[in-house]
Amino acid sequence: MKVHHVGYLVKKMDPSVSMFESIGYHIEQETIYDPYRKINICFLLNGTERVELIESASEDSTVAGLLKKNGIGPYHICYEVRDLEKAIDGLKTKHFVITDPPEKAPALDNRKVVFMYHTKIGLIEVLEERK
Amino acid sequence: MNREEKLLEIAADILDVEKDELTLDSKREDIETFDSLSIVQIIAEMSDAFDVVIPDEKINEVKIEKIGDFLQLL
Repeated sequence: MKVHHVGYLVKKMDPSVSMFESIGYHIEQETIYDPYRKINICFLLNGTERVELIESASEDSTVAGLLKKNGIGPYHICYEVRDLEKAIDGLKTKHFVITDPPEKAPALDNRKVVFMYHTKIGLIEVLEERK
Repeated sequence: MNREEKLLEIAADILDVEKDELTLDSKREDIETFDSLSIVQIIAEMSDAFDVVIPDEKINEVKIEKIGDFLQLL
């Protein structure tokens, strides 16, 4: 599994994008609304380092509770894999638990992603490679 | 330590409450920190502590309303 991006939870998208731009990042993809998760997403790049900024767009979004509980900041690392189902099965045997079932990610060319949690390392996102 | 005691220990740690204050009948509505995120955390900790893979179907099937409900996942 190789790292694709680090996911940051933010309260307001625009000021956070500006902050990342001020430290050397540039927008890779303008903000996209993800209707499955009710969030707004913006990707920024600095060389090969990629961050995903995530803003809750609804009180019942997938990140609203987390934002309330933990506040802003990095909250997951996304790994890219060739075979998503195989990766999920492998991670389950290591006691990862699915928090959000596999679903298309509009901000990632509708590739499938899944979020999994492990008690020793926290939350990860697993993304299928481009076919 | 039996599995009920282990569950109470796990839940108390994740929900940030004293173990003595928690029973298998403690209800979700009575504990402020007992939210959907903490449910995932407890399930993951149980999977690790009891060395079991808990199938997604079971996780979706079992409705967690009180602490004791987690035992249905084992």
